[in-house]
Amino acid sequence: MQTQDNQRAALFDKVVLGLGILGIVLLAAALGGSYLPKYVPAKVALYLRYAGWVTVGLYVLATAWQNRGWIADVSRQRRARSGANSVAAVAVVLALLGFGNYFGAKYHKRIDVTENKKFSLSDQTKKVLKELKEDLTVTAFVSNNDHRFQGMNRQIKDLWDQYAYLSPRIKFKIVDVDRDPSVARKFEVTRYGTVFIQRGEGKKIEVQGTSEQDATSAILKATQDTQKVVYFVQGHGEADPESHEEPGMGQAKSSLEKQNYQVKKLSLLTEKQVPADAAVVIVAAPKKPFYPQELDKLGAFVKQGGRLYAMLAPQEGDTGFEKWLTKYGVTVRKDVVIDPQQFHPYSGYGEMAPVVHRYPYHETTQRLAATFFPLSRSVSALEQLPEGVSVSPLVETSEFAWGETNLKGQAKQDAADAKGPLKLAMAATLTPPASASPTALVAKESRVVVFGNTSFATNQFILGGGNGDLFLNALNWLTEQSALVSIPSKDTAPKTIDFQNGQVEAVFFTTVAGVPLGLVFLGGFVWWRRRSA
Amino acid sequence: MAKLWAIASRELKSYFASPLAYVVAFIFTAIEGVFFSVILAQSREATLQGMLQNLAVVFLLTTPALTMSLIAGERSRSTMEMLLTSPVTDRDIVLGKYMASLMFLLFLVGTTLVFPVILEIFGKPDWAVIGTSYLGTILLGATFLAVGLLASSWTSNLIVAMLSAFGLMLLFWLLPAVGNIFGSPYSQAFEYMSVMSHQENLARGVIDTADIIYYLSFIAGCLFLAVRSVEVLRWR
Repeated sequence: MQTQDNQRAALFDKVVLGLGILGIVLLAAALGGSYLPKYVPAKVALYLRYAGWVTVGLYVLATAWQNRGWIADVSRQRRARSGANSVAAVAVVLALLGFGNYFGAKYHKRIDVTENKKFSLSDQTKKVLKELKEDLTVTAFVSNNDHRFQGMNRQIKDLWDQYAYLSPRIKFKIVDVDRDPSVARKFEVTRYGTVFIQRGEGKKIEVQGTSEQDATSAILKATQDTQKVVYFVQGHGEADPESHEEPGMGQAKSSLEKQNYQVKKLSLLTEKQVPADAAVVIVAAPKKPFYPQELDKLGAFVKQGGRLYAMLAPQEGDTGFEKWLTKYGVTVRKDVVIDPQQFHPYSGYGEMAPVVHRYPYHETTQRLAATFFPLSRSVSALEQLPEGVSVSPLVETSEFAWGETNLKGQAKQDAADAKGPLKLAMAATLTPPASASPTALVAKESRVVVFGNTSFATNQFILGGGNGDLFLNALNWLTEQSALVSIPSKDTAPKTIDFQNGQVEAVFFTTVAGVPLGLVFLGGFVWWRRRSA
Repeated sequence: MAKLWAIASRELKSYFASPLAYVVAFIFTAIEGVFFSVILAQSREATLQGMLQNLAVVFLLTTPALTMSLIAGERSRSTMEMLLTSPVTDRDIVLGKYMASLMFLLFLVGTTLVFPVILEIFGKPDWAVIGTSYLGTILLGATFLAVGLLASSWTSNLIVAMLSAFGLMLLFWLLPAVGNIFGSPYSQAFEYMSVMSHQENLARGVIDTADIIYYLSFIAGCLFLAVRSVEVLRWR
């Protein structure tokens, strides 16, 4: 009997050993096979792997069975039971903490306590997000393997995480271009860091840039059905929106395009009338006279609800445009505004570049930064406004400014010059009279903005201070797109400190010597107390 | 609860009685003073950010020394049995000692309060951001202390406790680097687990509940494991 049991046990041992060896062999074969795909097809390697693990599992079970006596003895001891309990408790607690973190990360809440809320999105963006009616898919194509892009990737993620956090309609996805090249090809991605917004299956709008302004503009582009067109009148020496020279307005054009406007040039001589898709017509610093038929076409455009953006500049001679503008209740004086107290120090025009800090008049200028206007004419409202016209100022200088009418010779304030504070820009609203012709369509309100200065919107000066924002805000008021009023970029630099002489050293000695030595004395004091106690 | 505070105050007293604490405090405040002054003189910015970032490194280096003797010290002085046989629970022991080290940490952090005062004298710092930065630093320090306490509970040798505490803290500090090897999405998980990645929001002035949960759960986990270790000591 015993011999038979021994024989069976010995056989069992051999089988178990064989299982173990077989398991290891199978796993090794699977591993080796995965490196030699030519000789070993992937499927075979996979099966080898499964077989190997199963065999090893059987080996473990068989060994456990072999040593079942020992296992029973150990388990009986109290230490093993407490140990097992401990392990179980630890596992449960760690799992709980893990889940807690997982859900905490998923459903987190952010509170931005900085002074100017620089890490939260602006109110304008929040408004835009609240008004979203459809889901928007935002896809960012990044490379996670190149260290150079880590900063940019973080910027993109931080920014769009905030959007997704604020609105459930924004679905944000990050696609690793290297891992999913097919998706990247479908979107025609050419650069790392490109972000696309898509509304349903519609057009994919590319987001230019990583700032909040760029992102919100792109969202607006994606949600708008029609694109508004802004026409720049040409033919009288006006500023060229295609030009990137200093007097050109190429910069203004690209900021308009970022706001979802299309920019085109318009010649009032060759066109029969202002095109029907025009949302705004801009006249920027005309130097040559206008033909009467050109002004008539403009007038017809404004009359049927059109929006006109007129920017002028000090010059010799007359274009007839200023006189024509008076029918909208605004006169533009033939002067140059000089402000000896508040002028821009670096524009190159000295006191002829007045600076404006306060905007007490109009909603579009409410949260504007300081703006400046090199070479400007003053504007004012007519004493007797035409019927249906209401005018309000947009920009006004300090009371120290005056409008120098003597364009030659020394600039000196005299009786002929208008006294400050002078208005540099006005906004006029025309409500059509009730007695319109019976066949007229629904009468619409017209809006005209008149600036006595153009240079603030040219490439040379538009990026300074609040000039760019003012340009866009006035335009958005014209098109009644108050949601697109530009988002002032947050000041992210911390405050700086000016030190007087000797203060830096004082700080150094206080912190490096004073406090530590104070602690040493404290220690010494405590030690002395203990000794004498 | 009273027992917890008894243990805490006893430990705290021994902190202030030993010269080690004062040496650590001296070095700590001197280093921080140098960092603060130099950064301020160069950048002229009314911010504590640079100093607090360096403070994190100083924590990494000093908290192992502060916590190494909490439990390992008891064992090396053979007072552990006396402690275990007193009418206190394992939880009291661990939490009491943790409280003591935490209060010492707060004392050290308190010595840096002179810096924002200096900033206020000379400039206009954003106090809300200073508040959240300090919160972040304290949470970080508290986490390191918990790790140190856990390491101390594993051994009776002070040096081993200190080195393993340092090793663990360093590991969690460097997790994002490890994660980069694997690429996304694993790298995101590693980044979440890293102890420094949750400082960013707080250092900038943004309180995110996920960060707070991370630190509190980390501390809770370490303390829980430490209680288990003390329990094991009872068997022996």
